[in-house]
Amino acid sequence: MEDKIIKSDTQIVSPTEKNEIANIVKEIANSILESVQ
Amino acid sequence: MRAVIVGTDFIKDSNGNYRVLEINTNTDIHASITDGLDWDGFKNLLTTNGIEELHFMYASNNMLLETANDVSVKDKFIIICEELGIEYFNYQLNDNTITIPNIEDSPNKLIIRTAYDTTALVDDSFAKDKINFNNLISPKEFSTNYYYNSEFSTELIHDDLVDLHTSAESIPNYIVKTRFPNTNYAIYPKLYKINTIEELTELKNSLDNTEYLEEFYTNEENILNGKISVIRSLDIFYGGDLSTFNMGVYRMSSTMPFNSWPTEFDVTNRMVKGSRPLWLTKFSSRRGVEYFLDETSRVLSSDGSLIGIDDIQENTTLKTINLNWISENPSLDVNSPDYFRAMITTGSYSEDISTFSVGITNTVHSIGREADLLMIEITTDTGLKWDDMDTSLIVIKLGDTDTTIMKYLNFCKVGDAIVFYNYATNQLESQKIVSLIPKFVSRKIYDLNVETADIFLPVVDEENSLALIQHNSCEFYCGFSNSVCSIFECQTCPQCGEVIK
Repeated sequence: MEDKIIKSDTQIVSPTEKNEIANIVKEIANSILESVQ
Repeated sequence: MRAVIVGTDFIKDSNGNYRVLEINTNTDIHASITDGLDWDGFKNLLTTNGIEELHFMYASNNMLLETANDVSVKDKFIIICEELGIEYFNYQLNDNTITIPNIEDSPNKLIIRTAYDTTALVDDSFAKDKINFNNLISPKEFSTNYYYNSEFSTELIHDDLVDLHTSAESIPNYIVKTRFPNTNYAIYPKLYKINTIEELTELKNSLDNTEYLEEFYTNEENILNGKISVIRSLDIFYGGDLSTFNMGVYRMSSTMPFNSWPTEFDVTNRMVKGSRPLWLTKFSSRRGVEYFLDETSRVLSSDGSLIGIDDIQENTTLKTINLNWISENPSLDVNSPDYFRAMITTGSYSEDISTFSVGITNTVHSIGREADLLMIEITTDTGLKWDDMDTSLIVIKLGDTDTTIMKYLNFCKVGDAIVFYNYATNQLESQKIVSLIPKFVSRKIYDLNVETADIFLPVVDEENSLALIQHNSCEFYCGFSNSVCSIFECQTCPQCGEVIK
């Protein structure tokens, strides 16, 4: 890909960080579910 | 089985703890990270649930492609379905859609969307209403500390901001956001540097019920390539029990390194417009803004005189340049050059200087608008200097070669040469680019659309009679684009590969 002068960068996080984040999201989903039960 | 891709944005605070900023169901997905997502896990999700049909609904702006070779999440779904023998159904929705097609559910279907659905709880109660979401998660350690006050939603009144949240010099420590989705990125979010409890109280009292105040968190781990970034988690929420499958997590940054220029605050402690690009991924509304012409710009008119941009009206005739390597487009009017092809086909400068010709083109419209945006300051080897937009499409000579091509300024490099038309000598000239520096500007800029030839000649050096060979703005442009070039929303851009979604 041609490089650009003005651009946003992206980077996949480490597996450890991914797991930590995924657990938080799971907790958020549970909170949403509990809010309607 | 119904499912939605939820994008959850996080940032790390100074203690290294994750803080949840918001969730989105109308989620942008950067194609640059597609390969890094958990596709084995996704296949497992499909097979263990006995999925035989995958129905994918997405708002057309949500597949953020970078190049023609990029594979979007949608593309990956199609590939995986082929691999697993699953039937794939595609639903491309309008960007501003608030409802989705009704597809009959069954256990062997995965009906997945990344598009807003106002009838869905996750969307309407929590993605759309950020205070309701903050209220939901506020007991958790990963929630942000925030303040909200409203005489209408008294059950949502909340104040964690009792003590002063501090940050190093010139680093913001508070951020004002809108409760409901923000459409004006030039204003929101607002960043502040608050120095005393009194100033904090004053800021709280200044907010109305559409706004809320949050601590602004910083950590060195939030910096990616010198740029401030946030963490985006992509998760599929599926089934009646709201199970989650984590597709992947990535950092996405602002466009400018945060130390590119000083961060400044005004007398109300609010960050000034010019510093916002250093701290935010979205900082301005550049809808419809494409070209560099400003109030001082003059353009070469058909009679050879210079005409001010404000004096150009519908049917004003202007000079254009014909280059023999830009062929005619058979699908357009007779004698209309195909400039989009000119971004992938090339010419020869040594031939251009003897074969080019000057013609006439006609103004369709000239529209001016005030804008806050990043531009690029170009300096050539003669010392000539001007500002232009990253989306400006101009004729250049590549590096030390003889090759000429039309290129977006954002893709140009130091060492390329700008090809000028010298209207005093009626010759082409080139000057090497010696620097390309992004800068923030607030000014009135103009779109100029000419037909049938899409090239006009804006003057950048009156003393030496030099005009750029520049492509006009395009009628088919339909608004803010997430494409690389920020122009080609509705067609494929031959240069960057954007964008048919």
